[in-house]
Amino acid sequence: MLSCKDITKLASDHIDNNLPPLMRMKVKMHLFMCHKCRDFVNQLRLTVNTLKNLNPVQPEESFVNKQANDLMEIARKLKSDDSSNNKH
Amino acid sequence: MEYPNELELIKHLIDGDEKAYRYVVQAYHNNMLYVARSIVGPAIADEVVQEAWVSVIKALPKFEGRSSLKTWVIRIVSNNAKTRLRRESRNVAMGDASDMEALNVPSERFQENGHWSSPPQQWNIASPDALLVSDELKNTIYTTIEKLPPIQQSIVTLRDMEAMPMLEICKVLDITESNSRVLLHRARAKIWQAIEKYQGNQNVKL
Repeated sequence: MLSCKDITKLASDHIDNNLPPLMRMKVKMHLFMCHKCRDFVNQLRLTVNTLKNLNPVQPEESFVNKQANDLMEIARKLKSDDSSNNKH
Repeated sequence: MEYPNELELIKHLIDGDEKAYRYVVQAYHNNMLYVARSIVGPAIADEVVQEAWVSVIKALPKFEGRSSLKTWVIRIVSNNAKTRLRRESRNVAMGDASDMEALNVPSERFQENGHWSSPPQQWNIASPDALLVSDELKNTIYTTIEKLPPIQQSIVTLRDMEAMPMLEICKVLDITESNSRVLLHRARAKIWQAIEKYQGNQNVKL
């Protein structure tokens, strides 16, 4: 028999459909009988689905502007090096 | 996002369009940083990311579209970071050994026989949309992700938020699939705990 502690360790693999069939069956049996673990698995699933709907952490706007300008500067420099190389 | 497809985005980048540059920095920079931190550690991660951006800009005209632009960019950071690691022959603990002992759900919450002693609290919300209505909760999740060890940060962001295939993530971070699954679960469990704590505080307020 799997304990509640075991279930919490297997929960992500269960949610992601990543358990071998026999283990999946054992987890399902436990969940059928244990509402606490059912709560846990449902909450973890909700957590994962929330992450899927959430934009990743983004850098500060001031950083984005500065970085974008620096990169454009680099791109311009690379381009002009290229064209002066082609002339020779 | 304003670009109908990646070819359009790449064209704007090559033409030097500022909006396109801002867009890629916004969308890619943090992911690049997480991956670099996971491989070389936080001290030189910024430098590695800046070098990777230069590689990206140089190689952009040669991008063939065999993977998504994001995956391609992440691979470049990963390769640069691995090269840097070899060159400096530094040993950075991969797979965040410091966190190896940490359990997914704290063991205080179980009795000795493995049954719950402190079971999950009831949540008064039941859909991701409902969860994300609260800016406070969104920030709680972001703060929790920011505090994760770099490798967990990379995995949970790339897998759950960016939907990158697990095998690709393993290749980029140079870890086994079973290791990556353990780390992904650990990251998710920490975010679950943060949401539970937030829910608990809400219940007290009500």
